Amino acid sequence: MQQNDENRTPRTVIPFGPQHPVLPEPLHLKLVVEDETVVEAVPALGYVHRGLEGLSSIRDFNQMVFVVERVCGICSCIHAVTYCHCLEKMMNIEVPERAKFLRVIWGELHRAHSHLLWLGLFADSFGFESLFMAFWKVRERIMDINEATAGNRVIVSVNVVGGVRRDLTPQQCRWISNELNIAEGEIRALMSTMLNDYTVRERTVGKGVLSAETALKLGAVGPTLRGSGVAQDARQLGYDAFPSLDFEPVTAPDGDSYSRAKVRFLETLQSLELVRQAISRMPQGELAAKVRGNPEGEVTDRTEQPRGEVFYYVKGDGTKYLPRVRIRTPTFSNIMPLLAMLPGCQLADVPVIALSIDPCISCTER
Amino acid sequence: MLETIAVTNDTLRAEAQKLFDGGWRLVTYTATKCPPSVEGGDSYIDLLFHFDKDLELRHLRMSVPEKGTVTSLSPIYLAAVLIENELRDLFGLTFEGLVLDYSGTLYLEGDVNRAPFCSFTTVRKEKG
Repeated sequence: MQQNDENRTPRTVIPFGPQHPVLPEPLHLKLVVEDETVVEAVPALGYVHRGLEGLSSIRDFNQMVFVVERVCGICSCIHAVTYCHCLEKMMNIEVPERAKFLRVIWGELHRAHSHLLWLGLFADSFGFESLFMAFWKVRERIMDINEATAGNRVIVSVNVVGGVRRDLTPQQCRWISNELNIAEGEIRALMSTMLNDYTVRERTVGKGVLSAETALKLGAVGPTLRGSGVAQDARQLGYDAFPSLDFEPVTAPDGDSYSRAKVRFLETLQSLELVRQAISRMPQGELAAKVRGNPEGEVTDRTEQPRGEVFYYVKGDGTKYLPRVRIRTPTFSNIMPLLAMLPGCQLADVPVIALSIDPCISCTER
Repeated sequence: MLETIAVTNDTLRAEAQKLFDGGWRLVTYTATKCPPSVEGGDSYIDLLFHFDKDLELRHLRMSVPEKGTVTSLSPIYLAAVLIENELRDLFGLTFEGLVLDYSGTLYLEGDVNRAPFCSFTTVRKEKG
């Protein structure tokens, strides 16, 4: 504890994390507090850095699909899609139309189960255990769809360079649509509690406010940015089958923890609708194009993960190994905005605000 | 190949300031260790700076010698703080004017003096 001058409240540095009941992954914040008010926060990383980008020098470009899927389990499908986009651009591969729709289906299922997981954790962060269990119960339907269609609940491994490796039968498509209808009903039943309940609003409204201007200056992405009223979503780039689907970014205007939660809640419903649209509009056809030769050149690609825009830079030198695979994940971009949300808040609100950016530290450190 | 704008340490900050004033968001940097471009030359770091505005990307590019120093963009873009500290840890680059310098300990322990993405060793200066 240090006393800065006679008139000021003493400042104390309190470590938040890396192990904390609300954090599923190790994020460490050094919080400088005056009494119960946070005046400054400094992040510390490095607890789960795995050097996955470096593996591109010893794994060939096809094997790297499996590596990038493991950057983050919960958005593994979209990591693989983004990486495959890069290789497909570099090698001039035209992905079959059906594969583009299948990528959207599994990608949006990932977004839905990621958001449901987060909504549960968020409710848990302010002690609403029954809401936590209700969201995770709905999430199980999505996990069952992943398991039934891809053989795995989390890392579905359906993407290959040139397309996808698995198809959906008409019976599976009907079953998925039916399951999503039931899931939507269950989620809508939770809407009133999640968005209007006294406890939820007391703990989230006005907590961790981030203005649109600050969010853009600090490089915020995803629901963290859209929760400040900025309608920017990488799906607007029109990759895969998105040009054939009805899509508009979800936004909320207030920039607080409640707004970010509202964006994710509504995006969950939107993802279920996008999956149903993709199923109904999916054409027949091939699943993957043939891949010939080795990649050469350099490309970038961006897609929208559950936590926001992910950026890939891939460089090829004409061999089967890639000299560089660079991955900038959404949480990495959202840490500086988090530091701007914390000053002025109460110490008891830090877990809620930290969780409101949906931090994924294994993504961040790779 | 990507369309890039070539910059040097002398022009980097002015170019970034123009982008900042124009409302461009800093996406990230990419560093790649490259072999010597001429026989007998030195390997170098190819450094790319990526910016976004209205879903359009723009890239700045500069070459930096191994263990080289780069002008920090953190006084303009605060979002550069973590990116530059990460590059210091992984590639051994030093950023001049970095507003929050972890001194190579963002990912690495204090006693590690090797940049994992490069085969050279950095030498830390003792404080004091």
